[in-house]
Amino acid sequence: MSAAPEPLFVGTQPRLPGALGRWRWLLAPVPAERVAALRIAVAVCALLDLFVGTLPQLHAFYRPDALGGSGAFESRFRAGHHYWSLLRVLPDEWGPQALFALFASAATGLLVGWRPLVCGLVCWVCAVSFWNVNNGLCNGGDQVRNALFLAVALAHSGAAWGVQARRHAGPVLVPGWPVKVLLVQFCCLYVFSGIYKLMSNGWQTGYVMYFVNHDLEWCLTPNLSALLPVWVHRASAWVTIGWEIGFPVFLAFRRARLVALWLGAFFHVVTFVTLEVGHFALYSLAFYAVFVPWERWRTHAARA
Amino acid sequence: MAEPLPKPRAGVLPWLVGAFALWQVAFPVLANLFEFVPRRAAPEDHFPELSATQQWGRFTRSDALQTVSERAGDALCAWGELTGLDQGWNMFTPDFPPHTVVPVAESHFADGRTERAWSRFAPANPDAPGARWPLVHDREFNFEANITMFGWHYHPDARAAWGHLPTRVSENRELVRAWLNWKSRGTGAHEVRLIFHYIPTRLPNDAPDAPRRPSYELQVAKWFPATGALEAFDPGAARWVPLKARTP
Repeated sequence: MSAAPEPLFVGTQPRLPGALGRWRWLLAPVPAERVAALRIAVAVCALLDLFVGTLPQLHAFYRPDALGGSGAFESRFRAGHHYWSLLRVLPDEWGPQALFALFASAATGLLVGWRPLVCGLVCWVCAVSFWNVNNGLCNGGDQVRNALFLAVALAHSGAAWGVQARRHAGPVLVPGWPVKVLLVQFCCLYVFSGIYKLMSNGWQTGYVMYFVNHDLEWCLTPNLSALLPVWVHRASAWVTIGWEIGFPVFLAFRRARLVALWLGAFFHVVTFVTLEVGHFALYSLAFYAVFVPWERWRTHAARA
Repeated sequence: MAEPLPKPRAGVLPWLVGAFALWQVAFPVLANLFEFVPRRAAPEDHFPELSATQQWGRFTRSDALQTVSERAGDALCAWGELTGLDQGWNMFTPDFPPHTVVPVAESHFADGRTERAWSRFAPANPDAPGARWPLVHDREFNFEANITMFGWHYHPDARAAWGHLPTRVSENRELVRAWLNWKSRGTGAHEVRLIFHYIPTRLPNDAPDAPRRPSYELQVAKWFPATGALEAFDPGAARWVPLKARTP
């Protein structure tokens, strides 16, 4: 019987001083398939966001004779702040279209795993540029998008499942810290959302979700909301708060982690189809790709 | 036994990557916590206020401590703005209104005619609303929601409490102006008004067949396309207030 092949580590392992250099949680490598799945999920969401959510109204969103233009939101770029956008230096006539084309090309590059460092950084530059030049069009999903592009760019996400994937008989590992950075970002997103909710009367009584689900603009399916009893709306508010605040704790325990992750994915799918949260739900859902043990497929395939 | 960690290469790059990884892990935690540490507002913090979650004021009588905390907050803020990793996660808080707020652009013409352009999300029949596709007009929705949110909790019985409406319009004047401009494009209107149309939601304890409470409207702002001037309505004083280009 032959020995299992040695793992191949791809990327730059960070060096930290003293005891920090043994911080396994941050420094342990992760299977390359996990970050490859994240890369593909983020790219799919970006392409949906670009071609379904943006392209049909690109002119309206970014031209000065409509909702945008490079000078429409000067206050965001005033002294004392550090927001920036390439669209501030590109002409209004063709700048948005050119940046859109670059963004879509780089997202396609991510999808197929072609130079993910470059494509991820290009996506991030384009995403931040569009986010800043007309922030009115955005919600928290854009900040999530920015974080995901940075992580995908820096995570050596092309080491598996892509046109430049490493050919190796054994496991391929990549640095784990970009995934941990994302994990902390999502924990903060959920926990602090939960804390703000906990301080609100409407969330404490649970009625907030009744009113959200019956709002004729915020809710995509107000015709269905009336079919649910009031206690279901209220319970959904309480479960949301409990799940958000408990998320980092749940992740620490194997069974609780599974429940928390399934609940999170369910929460994002349901809010995507029932509420006008759009790309926030999509990009948040993309993050869950890192939790699926894709590397087991390789093991199964190798055994077969 | 756990696998040993990969050995970092020699040279400066692994140190730089390590420092960056540490900073990136610490940043979201610190940036979110600093939102709860009151800071004195500088002119660049307001009009419009760019953080809806930051606590304003002081947390200590010590100037030195307060200043150190504010400079640390500035560094976190700068990193968030430069990288697009702004924090502040307060979706659907502090509360959600018991009504739908629909923005309407009302064009006024020189001959006295008026014409209304409703939001595309306005329900044709509030009592028989249809379903909509996710994502398709999500960004246009965000633009309108960023405008209507500042009128979420208005009610005609509490008119006097709404003296702050002109300030909120002023803070959001770029959004208001852009939306009115877009909705009235090509009409030749000499004045365009922003109106919030409120459709009350049935209360949780209402009978299923109870009639919906009547809708009502609030005049919010008027924009003059020829000059670009913007005025806001003060419901307390029942008068229009001209807005300066920048409110001190």
